[in-house]
Amino acid sequence: MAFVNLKNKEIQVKIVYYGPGRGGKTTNLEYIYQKFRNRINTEMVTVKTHGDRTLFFDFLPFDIGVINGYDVKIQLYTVPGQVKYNATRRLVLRGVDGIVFVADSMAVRREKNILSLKNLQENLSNYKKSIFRIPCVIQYNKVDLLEQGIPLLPTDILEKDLNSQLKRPSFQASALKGTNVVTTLKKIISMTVASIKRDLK
Amino acid sequence: MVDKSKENQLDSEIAKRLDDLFGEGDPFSDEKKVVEPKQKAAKKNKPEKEMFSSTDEEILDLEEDTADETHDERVPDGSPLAELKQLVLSIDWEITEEALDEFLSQIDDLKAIYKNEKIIFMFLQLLGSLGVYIKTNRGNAHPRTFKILSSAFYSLEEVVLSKEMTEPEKKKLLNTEMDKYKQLRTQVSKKKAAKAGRQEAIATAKEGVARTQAFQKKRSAQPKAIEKVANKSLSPAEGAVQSYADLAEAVAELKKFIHSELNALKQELRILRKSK
Repeated sequence: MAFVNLKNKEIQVKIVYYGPGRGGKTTNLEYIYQKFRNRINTEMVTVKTHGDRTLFFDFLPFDIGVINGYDVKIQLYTVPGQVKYNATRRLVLRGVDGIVFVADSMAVRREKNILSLKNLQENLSNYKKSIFRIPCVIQYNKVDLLEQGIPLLPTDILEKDLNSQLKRPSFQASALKGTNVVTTLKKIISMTVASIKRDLK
Repeated sequence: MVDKSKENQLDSEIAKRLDDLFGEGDPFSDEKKVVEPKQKAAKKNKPEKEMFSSTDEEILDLEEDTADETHDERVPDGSPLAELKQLVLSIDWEITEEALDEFLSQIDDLKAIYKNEKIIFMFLQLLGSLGVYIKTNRGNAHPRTFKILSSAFYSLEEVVLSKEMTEPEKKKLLNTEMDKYKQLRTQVSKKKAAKAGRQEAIATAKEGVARTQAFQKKRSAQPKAIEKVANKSLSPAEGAVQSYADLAEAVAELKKFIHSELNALKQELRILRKSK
């Protein structure tokens, strides 16, 4: 459940970008930050190892203004994708309101996507949350690699692997080029805010 | 009915707010690529856990059924390097035992194919050496290794795929990559030497400290009677000289340790400056 301050009429919405290692979660946030830093007027916090992999998490907070009388503050997080950092992932998921699952479209990453989605389900269940109920958007990232002749999974295969049960909105994207990064963000914010609104009733 | 209209109002309010924030700033947005979710109806009544675990079977079946088809569809030109390219990218994303093993075996296969083409063969040798280095050092491999691996691969690809490239041009590309590789090797060996120097210095210092401690312990544990006997053989002045000598030796060892530690740090700083 989102953090709601009734006195100050403020809602904090926590959205976590989840997915396999090197799938483009940090790149999504970096794109948003680079492109809109003047408008969102905030700082992105990021901690990386020397190999450019997220060690702990990335954090990008911003305010979307007053909606239905509440000042809505969005907090975007990423988790480290590497298998060994599961404790960190669980920690970042605490109090999550919405998920963007960033899948890697590369053919060689197929199994890793599936394992990561299962890991998300397990970690959410620790907080008594269901992957089937939490607002979630799936992003099939790295579509730009096709131009370079790299084998990608066709969307219908990705949908079957990752979304046949969940039936969530999904987008083909290139976080590196910015394709559908904002579309994904808009979708998850509107889904999550609507869900919080329903819970508040 | 009222609730529905309120929900719609909320939706449009959020959409408007998000458009204000991100509206014009997403020139790349391509709504056509949105994949609309299908209706949930078919499996709506199934329990959630059952639904998810049943996917596992579907996924396994799908993998078997579609793997070849997917590969055939996506490999653009049947280039002999296509698989190697995938593996290079895989290693760049994440270092796994599996990817490295496949990479090295792919290099061996290609070496057999190109055994009569000297330049290509040497490129493959270079890539193989980098692969072995990454496999041995994994996450501790020098950060430049991955850039050099990609760069060497793309040069190889250029050499293999470009039909118009002359032999001297190919050789030039190979030499450039070789130079990068040699530089990396020098950096790695310097780093190793600096590390070894530091370890040696630490070991010497530890030994010195242990000896000093042992000496002090021995002195304090020595019964007075024995001390008297011991001192009998040495005059008081000689005894004092002996303990001063031990102390001086310990101080000298500590000095040596500090000196070698500083040297190692200086060396590391030099390497860092050079690599920048």
